[in-house]
Amino acid sequence: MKRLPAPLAGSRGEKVTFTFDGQTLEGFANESLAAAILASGRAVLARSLRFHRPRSMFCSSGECGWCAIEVDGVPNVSACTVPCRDGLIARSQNAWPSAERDIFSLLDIVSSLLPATFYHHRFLRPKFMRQCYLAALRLFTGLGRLRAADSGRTMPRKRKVREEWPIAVVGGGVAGLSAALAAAENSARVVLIDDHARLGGSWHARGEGARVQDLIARASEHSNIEHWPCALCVGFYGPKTLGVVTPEKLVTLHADQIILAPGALDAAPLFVNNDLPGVMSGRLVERLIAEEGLSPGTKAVAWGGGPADRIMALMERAGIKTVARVANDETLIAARGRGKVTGAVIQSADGRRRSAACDLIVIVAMQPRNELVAQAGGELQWDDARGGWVARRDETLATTVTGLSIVGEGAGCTSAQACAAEGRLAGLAAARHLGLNSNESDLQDALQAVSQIAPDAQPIFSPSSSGGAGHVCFCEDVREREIRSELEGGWRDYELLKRRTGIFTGPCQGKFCAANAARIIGETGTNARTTARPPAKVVRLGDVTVMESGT
Amino acid sequence: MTRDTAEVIVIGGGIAGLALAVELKRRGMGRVAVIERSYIGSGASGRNVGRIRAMQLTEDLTQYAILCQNKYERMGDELGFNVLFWRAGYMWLLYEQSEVERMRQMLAVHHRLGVRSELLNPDEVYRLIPHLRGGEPVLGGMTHRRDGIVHHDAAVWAYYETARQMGVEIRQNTEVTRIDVVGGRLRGVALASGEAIAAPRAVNAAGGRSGRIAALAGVKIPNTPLRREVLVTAPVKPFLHRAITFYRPTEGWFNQTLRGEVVAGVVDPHEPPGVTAASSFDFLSRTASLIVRKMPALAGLTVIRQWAGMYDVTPDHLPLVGESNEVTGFSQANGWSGRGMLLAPFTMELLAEEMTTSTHPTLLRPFDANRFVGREAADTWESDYYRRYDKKGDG
Repeated sequence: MKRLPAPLAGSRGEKVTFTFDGQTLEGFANESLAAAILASGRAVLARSLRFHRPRSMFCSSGECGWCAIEVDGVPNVSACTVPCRDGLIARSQNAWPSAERDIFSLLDIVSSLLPATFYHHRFLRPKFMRQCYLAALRLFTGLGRLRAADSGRTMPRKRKVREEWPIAVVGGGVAGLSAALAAAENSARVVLIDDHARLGGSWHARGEGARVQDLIARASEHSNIEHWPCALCVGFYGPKTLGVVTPEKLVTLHADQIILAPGALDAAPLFVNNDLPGVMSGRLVERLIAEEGLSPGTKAVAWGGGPADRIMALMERAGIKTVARVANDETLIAARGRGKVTGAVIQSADGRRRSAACDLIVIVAMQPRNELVAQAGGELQWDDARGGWVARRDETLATTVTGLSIVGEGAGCTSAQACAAEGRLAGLAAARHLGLNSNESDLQDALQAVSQIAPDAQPIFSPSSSGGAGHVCFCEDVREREIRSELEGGWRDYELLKRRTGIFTGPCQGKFCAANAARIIGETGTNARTTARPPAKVVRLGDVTVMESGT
Repeated sequence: MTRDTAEVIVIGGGIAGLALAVELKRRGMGRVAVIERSYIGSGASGRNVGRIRAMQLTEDLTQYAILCQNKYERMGDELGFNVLFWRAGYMWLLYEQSEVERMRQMLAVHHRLGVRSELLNPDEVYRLIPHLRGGEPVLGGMTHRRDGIVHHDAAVWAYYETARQMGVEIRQNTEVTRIDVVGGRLRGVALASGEAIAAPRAVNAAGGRSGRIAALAGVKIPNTPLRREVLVTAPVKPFLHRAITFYRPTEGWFNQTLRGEVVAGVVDPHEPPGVTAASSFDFLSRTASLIVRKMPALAGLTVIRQWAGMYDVTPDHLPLVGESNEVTGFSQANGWSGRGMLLAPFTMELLAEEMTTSTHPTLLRPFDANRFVGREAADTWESDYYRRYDKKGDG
């Protein structure tokens, strides 16, 4: 990864120095730690849990776990979520001697002999060796290292409070801002909960700066809207009740109307080597170029729907040439390369294959985000065109759970315009539920606007294209063939499949594997989902400690 | 194919039900059917953390727990399946002088029975578990090296695989909706799927739902379902060997699994009884606050999931095992009170013995299924762990 003269949208921050694996590196304050490390000439940031596969950066939201490293003594931190700062100390994990050259990567060669069930009928003889086998097995587990706390460290302990709000909006992107404004303009009091310090979500980097700046300005000025920055909505805990973790307090938040606008997750299609450094989501590429001022490659293969045009144009401005675009009737079946992408194999509908030499594979596709709806027990439906499970909604975008609606990308929208329309409708409908004076014609207009949204065509990801070697689960290194072999063994129940293979059980809790697993299991006619549980966001134990501890 | 008759119907496909089916078959029982309302191990068997501890707070329980632990040592050979029984060791952290005194007395009892527990001073505790440094100061620790942790799912699958090989019919995703009793004798059960199975005997191994199942046969049992919650963190390299438990200020525990995750829970002393597996926000903060207070280093671990399961609690915290007086042919194998994983495999061996030979193993006597007849409403839960044993006067 190379630095551009300047970010294409925004400006270069101050120069900072930090260390990675003992080496002093330079970065800039606008860069993420992950990008700054890659800009130093490395291709590999981390190693995967079981087979020590090389990983760098993939998603744009800090949830895929590829770039997990140790930061200032804290293990398993997604380096893409950490801003570069002076004096920061970072270390790679789960690798020896280094993430770039890790001797344990030999395990990947024998990975087909080591399915998650490998121990079932092994390591029993001789009997006196059993505990030794377990001790040896244990050496291969875990990612980062938990260091004993230094005596000086003090733990922030938060206040625990209960709050009542008429309307809670979760997510401050275009959809969430539009919902909050529509409700607030109809005299409803709204709490707007957003993960980040700055409102606007990922839209700033996506050529929607003007639209989102306008929404932010209006929302910030509106006295009916209270914005909670850096607030994580971790779970749906009972009727109309959310658990929210802010930097100062833990809030059991009861709201009569809850509007979720959580944004989308990057989709992770199945193909051989789909976890290779150099495979990146379109939104990450966009962020790196526009905001961090980095160029993630020189020759790219692009795969995706509508927004791919915009991203290809941006890449061109950054000097990245798109050498091939996967057409609508084609599938990307493999990434080539050892340690980093050196090529891609594309297959057409009639089976013909073509290859392209490249150092970047850009996946432009989204999947809906449905953790909170699922936790609430809302009905979800499989929707191939929208990239996965989407909440079933009525015409006012309410889910099947009382007082809960979901709008925007999290529900499968793609364009900013569609997100704004959905947000506005849900905001108006929520105000009306509260008995506030909502102008009937406004609502009719909003209904009309939403009914005219046409879904963007997304690429359809076929599970059979990986030949079994594609990674379904990045966290636990579970490949397609492992799932198929369990299905053949009669383990069709989603819950049992999860426990036997490890899918859904890693740090991302199924965010990136659920869609692919559903596609594979769906072939057998089963349509089940696993139980959704909190937390929906990454929280550390230290983030949820409260002052009056004990009882 | 569906069989419409069986010798024994086992209600509940958890560790108890599946172990009983295997032990019955091993003793030559004819047709055995296991009915599971969801998937195998979907109840407490799949939601616990598999702690297998011989070091207990009473003499009777310690004696019996040793036998149960030995069963896990044998399990690999008996079932040909590695259930990952790991002798990680166990550690009670002691924060009050009264706790230290109590443990000093228990030490003598344990040693008499052959449990080599050790009472450690604070220095020894910190040397053994350096990550505790900087946390709430301990006054001591009671530890037992040979106590262990088992992979609960592996144990369920091991019994499931063996049961299937032995010809046990296991039906998942169907619930027992009716139990037929004629003239005080069990005749069979009806299922939600519309089918019916005739059988002279049925065993209620339904965990937290045992009370409901017993009621279908018109039998009252004193069991109370009580939710317990757990959280798990992202995996880290091995740093903690022993399974930690503490009872002050409230009961809680944590340990690192073989996979490297930390599992933890702190009990809510005011948990209301009921059949529920919902997760709570209070649990998340309560557990985080208390375990970070004990071991500050844990603050840096990411919570990846929280879940809940049910204890099936009896007034004396001992299971109900054996035939009910009220209905001939209807037996209980429930009320494990949070110790099902530890007790069930060995106890089901004894129950199978009783059912196939009509002898009455002395070891089952304290678990007599009829010991609460007439006083089913007895007070069940004492939130203070020690007092549960003091009340019985044998702690």
